[in-house]
Amino acid sequence: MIMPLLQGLKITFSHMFKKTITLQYPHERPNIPPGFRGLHALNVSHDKAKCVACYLCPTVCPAKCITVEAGEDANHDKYAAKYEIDMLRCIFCGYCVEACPVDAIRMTDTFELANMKRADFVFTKETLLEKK
Amino acid sequence: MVNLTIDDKQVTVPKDATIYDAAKAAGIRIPILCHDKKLHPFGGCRMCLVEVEQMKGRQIPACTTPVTEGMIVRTSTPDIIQARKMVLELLLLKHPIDCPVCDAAGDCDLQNLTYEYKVNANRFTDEKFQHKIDYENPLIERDMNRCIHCGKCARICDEIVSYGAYSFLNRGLEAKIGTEFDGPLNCEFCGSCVSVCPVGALLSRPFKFKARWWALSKTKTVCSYCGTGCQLTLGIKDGKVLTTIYDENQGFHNGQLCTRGRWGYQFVNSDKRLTTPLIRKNGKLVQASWEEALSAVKERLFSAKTAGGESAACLVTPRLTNEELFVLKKLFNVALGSQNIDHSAGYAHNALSAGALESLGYAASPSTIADIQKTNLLLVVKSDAYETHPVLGFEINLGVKRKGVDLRVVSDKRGKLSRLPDATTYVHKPGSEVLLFNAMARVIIGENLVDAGASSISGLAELKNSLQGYAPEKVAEACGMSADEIIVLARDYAKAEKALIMLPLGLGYPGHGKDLAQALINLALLTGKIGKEGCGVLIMGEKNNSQGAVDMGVYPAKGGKDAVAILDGCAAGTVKTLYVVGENPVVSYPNRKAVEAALDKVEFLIVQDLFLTETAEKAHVVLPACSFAEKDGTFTSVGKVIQRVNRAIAPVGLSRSDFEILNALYAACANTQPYADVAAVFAEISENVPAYKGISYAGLGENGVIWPAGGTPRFVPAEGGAVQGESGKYALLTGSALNHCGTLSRFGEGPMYVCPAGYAELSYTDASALKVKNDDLLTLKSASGEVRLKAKVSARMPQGVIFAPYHFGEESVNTLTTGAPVTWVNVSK
Amino acid sequence: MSNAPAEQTPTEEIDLAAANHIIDKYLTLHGNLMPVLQGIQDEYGYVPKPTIDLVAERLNVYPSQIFGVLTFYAQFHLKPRGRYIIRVCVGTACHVQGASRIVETFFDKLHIGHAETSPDLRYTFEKVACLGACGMAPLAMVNDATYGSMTVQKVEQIIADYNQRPMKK
Repeated sequence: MIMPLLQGLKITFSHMFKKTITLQYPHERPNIPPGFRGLHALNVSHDKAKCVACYLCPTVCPAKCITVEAGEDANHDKYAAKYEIDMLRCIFCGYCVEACPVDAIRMTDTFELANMKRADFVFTKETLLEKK
Repeated sequence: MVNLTIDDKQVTVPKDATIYDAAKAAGIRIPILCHDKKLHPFGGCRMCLVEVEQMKGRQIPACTTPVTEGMIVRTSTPDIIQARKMVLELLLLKHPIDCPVCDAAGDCDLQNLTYEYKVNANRFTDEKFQHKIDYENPLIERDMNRCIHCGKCARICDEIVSYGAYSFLNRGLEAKIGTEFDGPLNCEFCGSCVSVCPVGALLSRPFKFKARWWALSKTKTVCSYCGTGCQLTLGIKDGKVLTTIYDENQGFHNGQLCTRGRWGYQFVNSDKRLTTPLIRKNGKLVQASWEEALSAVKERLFSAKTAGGESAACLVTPRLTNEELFVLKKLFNVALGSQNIDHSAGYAHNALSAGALESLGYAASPSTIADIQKTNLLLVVKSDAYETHPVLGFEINLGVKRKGVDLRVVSDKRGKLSRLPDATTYVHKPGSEVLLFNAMARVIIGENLVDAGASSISGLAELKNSLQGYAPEKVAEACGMSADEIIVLARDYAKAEKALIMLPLGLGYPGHGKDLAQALINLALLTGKIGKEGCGVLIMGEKNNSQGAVDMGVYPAKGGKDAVAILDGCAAGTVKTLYVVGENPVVSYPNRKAVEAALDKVEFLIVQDLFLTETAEKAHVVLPACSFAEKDGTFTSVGKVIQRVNRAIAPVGLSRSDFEILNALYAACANTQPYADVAAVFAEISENVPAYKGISYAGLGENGVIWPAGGTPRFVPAEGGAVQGESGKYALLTGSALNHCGTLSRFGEGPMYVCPAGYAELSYTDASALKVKNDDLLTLKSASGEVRLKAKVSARMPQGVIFAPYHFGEESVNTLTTGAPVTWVNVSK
Repeated sequence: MSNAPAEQTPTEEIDLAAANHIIDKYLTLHGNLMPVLQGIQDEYGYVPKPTIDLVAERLNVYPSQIFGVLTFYAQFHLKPRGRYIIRVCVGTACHVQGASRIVETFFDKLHIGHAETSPDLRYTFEKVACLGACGMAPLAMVNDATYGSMTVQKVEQIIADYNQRPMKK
């Protein structure tokens, strides 16, 4: 009867000398592995969003959380006049990144998406644009 | 019939079929890029290559090769697939891969075939085209870099539209589709080229970047402009009508649309739509709730009812559905006890409701649209038939070019129809139509060309008597044609095996009334050209439901007041409540000043419309109604076709469909239960309107039902006198512009881009006499008013004649007119 | 009728009488567009825009189709051409015999390039692939006159000669 107890205690005590797994978040920051699917960012090229508003991401999105509205710029070219992602609905599947034909969207390692109001979870084009 | 084998399937097809047709009949799909079922085979793209065993395995195009007996065809051998891949590779050599920004993506034949044939790499490389993209016009964007040279746009513009805006320019590698002098596109903008373009070389600009094809939901319905009754597929996203979609299998016209049908849909989601009821308070129209507005209307109608009903009157547009018109008529006739109900000022229905009714025994045209292509001789009254009913114009084009129909245009000016191959145009003096057709009848009688069957029709003797004074020699001068021309036309008409007369109606054509219709019906009856295929008189109602309005009896009967009498009554104070549904008399009825005075005078004016029109601005209560895209019901078009209109979107704002409003008012005023739905009303219509007997709402199907006409014809002499010219004055003719229909199209962006304002069209001779150029302002002055219009100099106008379209609110031509066929005006710069 | 002579629309200062006359000549002929356009080209030296509109109107052919025909065939010209068309062969035989120097000399003397017309409409210069007289290489032609064994000096002589000739036909 005493043997199983000792065995248990052995495991317990052995962990006292191993490296701790628990992270003292937010004082300690996690190490984000590559390929992590966090908040989206719109890539920029030549000071403009690369997005051409082809509507493939809203089409492929299984959660239907992306809203795109195309506009015509002064050169008659297509651009995203409106690009919104509703983070409350997003399931971070990454299909939008896969579908994008012009490499305009990627997923960053930002995972802290808590907010105070529902409306603030709808990320607009301005907030999604890649920060320089 | 020919028997052949395609991919081991036995097929039997008519001997004029091609391999492509035969395969289609057998359910085998052969890929195509340059072929269209409406156009002559072209054989340019080489996608439809097939192998025929008898031709030693040679690859031949299926779309141009006629079938022969015992042919053994293989459509997808490895060699063929290889060849097709090669065709696609070569096309993709020049075609830019900009699918993400190309609006055609999802509806692009090249994209679909590339996917199907798995062409994901190209063995060749070359530079792409660097053509300038044509952004000059507001409707069609031409990006010739994407063009795959299928030539469909050039062919449809030539074969069906007969405008010929495009042609292949240059040769070899530099070949491209272009316009004359390789300039920007400037055509009638029917958009047929956009509809057939297999790639994104021709795109709709109003729809540009609005949505992807796969995100649109589609609703089939009927166009709400002219009376042709073209079927329409609306593309809808997020509760908005974003575009019209081409469907080559739709309707008699195979999806072919005119400029207003294709581009005029924007009025549905226009910002100018009324979204709440308005009530006049302290002289101003202010927003109100439905309860408030409806109770004001009800109160007013109740008091009219207790006063005997005669003080209430209604002017209604024939744009409403049959069901709405029926309920409205019941509201007035049954609930209120008033017979004062009319539409289109009487002009646009008189030919049917009085002319055809007396002469034929039923108020409709005896012919159908299908007769246009089956006839031998087509007599078109006024070249304007193209402008009033453009898709019927396409039918005429096809009849002339494909079926060899002998086209005779009798008109007061030339027009596009005059340019068709071997078409003969007889330009007569304005307003002399009845005179001319009576003279023709007289020639037919005089030369004994009368059909044997005519003697059994009553009234022949009377007709003969009445025609005494119409000898061609006598009327030639007044008609402005030579007696010989009249005689030849009469003989040709009488001797033709099959002959069809086309008569367009409309608010802009006050001369096209009872007498003209009867003169034409007399001609057809005399020569036995009624009741046979390809014969008769096709009377073309102006609006989408003009025929339906006549069928529903929405014109005064039993001592009721007609439109003119109603307005006179308003001015005199006998009509105290006027209910205007969808009409805009201030702009469209003759004599604007008198109409405005009458509407200002009337005690209570209720206007129910989509927009705050010139008429609605005068109202005491304005009720916001719904467009055709927001309602269910039926329209009856030219040739008596009853078709279903289907609701595509929810009502805009707080607007309610005319049916909902009228149903509520009827139930309240008649103190009965309201109708359950439109189907219930249609059931009552089929019980009460003899022509609609046995037709059910559900049974109308996709292509509608032609109601059967039956009646006893008789000859009714038509009175026609010479129009007395006034010296030094010009003859002003009103009518329809190609881009517009009534006053509704003014709220569609497409038509307004191309034709934004009224104009006065005059001949080069008159222009040089008046020293005016295009766009100079002309002052037109008649006995009743004066307007200033931009001049448009054109070769089609005869000297001394001016044409002005009637659709526009500012500087409206109805300031000048009083309802006579011809208005005499002084013109100065 | 659309076959009647059309009123002249004042767009470009061209006398349309000759064009009308040419159209009259071929009006009843089936397939008359080519001879009419060739006639106009002969008459005016090129096909002016107003004549295209006139032909379209009178033959009832779309202007776009006429323009398609005109741009398809190399024989038609849409811009005014010189009174004297100078063609210099740059085919193999002429090239070996130094045609490029002949071409350059013409460029220098006339101040116009390939397929260009001098502002006074006297000369149009064209390089052509072969004129079929390789034995006379290097070869030049002015209108229908042939000049074989060309030299730089002969270029100057030819230009001096044609500068004296009249502008009218």
